Amino acid sequence: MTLRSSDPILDVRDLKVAIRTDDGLAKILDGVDLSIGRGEIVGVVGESGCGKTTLVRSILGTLPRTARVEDGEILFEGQDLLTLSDRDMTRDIRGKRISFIPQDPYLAFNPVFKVGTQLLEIMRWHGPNRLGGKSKGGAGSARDRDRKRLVELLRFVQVPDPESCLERCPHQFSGGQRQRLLIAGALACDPGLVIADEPTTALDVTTQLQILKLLKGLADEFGVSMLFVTHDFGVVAQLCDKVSVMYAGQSVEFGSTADCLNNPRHPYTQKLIACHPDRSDDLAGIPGTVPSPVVPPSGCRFHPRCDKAMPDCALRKPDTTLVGPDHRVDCVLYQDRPPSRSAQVPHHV
Amino acid sequence: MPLIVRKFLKDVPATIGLAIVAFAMILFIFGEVLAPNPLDAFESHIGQRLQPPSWEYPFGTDNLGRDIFSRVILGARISLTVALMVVTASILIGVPLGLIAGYFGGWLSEGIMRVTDIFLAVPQLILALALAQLLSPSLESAMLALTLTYWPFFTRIVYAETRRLRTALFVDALQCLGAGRMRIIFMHILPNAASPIIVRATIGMGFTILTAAVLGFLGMGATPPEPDWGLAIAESRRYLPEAWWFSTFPGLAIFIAVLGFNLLGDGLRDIVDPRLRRSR
Repeated sequence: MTLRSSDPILDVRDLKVAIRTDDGLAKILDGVDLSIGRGEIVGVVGESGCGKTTLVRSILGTLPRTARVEDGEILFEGQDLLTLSDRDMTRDIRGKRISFIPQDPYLAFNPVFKVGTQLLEIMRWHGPNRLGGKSKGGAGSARDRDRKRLVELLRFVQVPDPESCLERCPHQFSGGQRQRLLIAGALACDPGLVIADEPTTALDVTTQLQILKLLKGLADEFGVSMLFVTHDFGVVAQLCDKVSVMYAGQSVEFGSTADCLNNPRHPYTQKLIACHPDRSDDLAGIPGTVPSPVVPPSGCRFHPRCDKAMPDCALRKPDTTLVGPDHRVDCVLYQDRPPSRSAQVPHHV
Repeated sequence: MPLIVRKFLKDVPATIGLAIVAFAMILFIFGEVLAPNPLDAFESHIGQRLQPPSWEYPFGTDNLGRDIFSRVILGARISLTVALMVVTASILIGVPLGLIAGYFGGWLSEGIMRVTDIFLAVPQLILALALAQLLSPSLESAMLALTLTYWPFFTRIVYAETRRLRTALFVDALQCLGAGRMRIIFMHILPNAASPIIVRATIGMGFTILTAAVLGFLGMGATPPEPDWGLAIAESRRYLPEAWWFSTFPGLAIFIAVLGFNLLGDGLRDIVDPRLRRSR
């Protein structure tokens, strides 16, 4: 379906992030692995509070100041983003090589400026002659070029009458239109990776479907990779090539969408899918809630809510096990299988 | 006509306020041309002192025979200069401090806001009087004193707005799209906080005119022979109640100017924030 490439565009390895709180150190992320190949759309799924947004913030380097990356690396095109200064992240990465589509299109624009001003502004910061743009004549022509490209993009994301919509204010657009504008803005600087943080949650279902189709089309057209954060397996099924399931700050399962949806291995994934209204007649639900990251359960963080839990679960974090080609699960259930059907991923202890 | 203009014009007091402010601005700019006897305003004519209002001197003459009408018109320039300078300087000091304190938080914010609180806690007029006394009475020292007492209001307002906007999704989105901190603060948060700043500045103009007049009256502001309104009232006290015109017309000028700015400010506030219908 998508071209597979040996070197991923984004490779998150064993990422650990902690936040200082009044109650103590909260381990928001505790060993998250994720890799996105070129041109792939990878979904990150989990309940609220499982660390999806923290993962996004870590990649973009916009964690709150109380948070600290304790361990791990985030390799983007081979470069560890965690070693870059905030200045370099602002100038070269954020919005330029890694772009971002915010969660709620109703609130994502600055209400006092025209849409065109805001979108062109992003292009101006990251444009090629950003530093040499002091001279009036050169800056003018660069602006015209940006404008032309933006209008093309807007046509692409199917905003009607793109020329005149640049002159309008955000409140004059519907939610779906605004989301299209934001998508155009995210693509404006020709990024390698687009991170979308629940971009359809605030929209109604029909608009949601249109936006998903649009995103899928754009990923194919522009060859851009996408990290898609959501809590909705239905969205994943429609859009993503691969999916990473997170629970309480840990990656529990990673694999192709087909594998994870049709043959979920981790008990949490199984339960999460069972919770989806389309996929079960009697809504099961998962007893209990996501644990507090300040005092997380020992071992596998899911074991208190897991009906297949064994004594071993509470003792240590399960190893990452390959249960199929490109299908990894962090669960004790699959560790004791015969070696022919399981293999240990070396970099994980 | 844009909706906002129509809405404003429907508000009669605000429109009156706007008219008064516009009139005061005309006096401010063209005062010297409009005053019928600009020279008489400064020269003393003992022969015609304390004349009641007449065709020649519509507001009468003062104790030195100067034309009060001309002096009231020329006084507009002094009052408005003081008000504009004080409010502008207060904005220049208060707004950046409020933005920084609101955006960054932590000890920096605490430090700025506690200093602001201290300035707010001291009664304005007393601090202004003390400073004016300390720096020897003059218009400049009055302006400095008023600025020092007025900037905390802007810091407070901008601080509150910035705190609210700091966590707004669009600020977050901007950060994730590669906007630098200073760009977010000054190019995106500040324009969103502009309307309360404008409202406060308008009301502050009226307030400053009044306080400047008080300082002038107490001899801590303008010095003779300047045609300051507050100073004129102070000079007129000895001739009351016979020469009623001497104090009445400068007093009316103060009253109308302050009223105009307050009405305008209230009207602007009603438009900017319809939930908050309250005058200071």
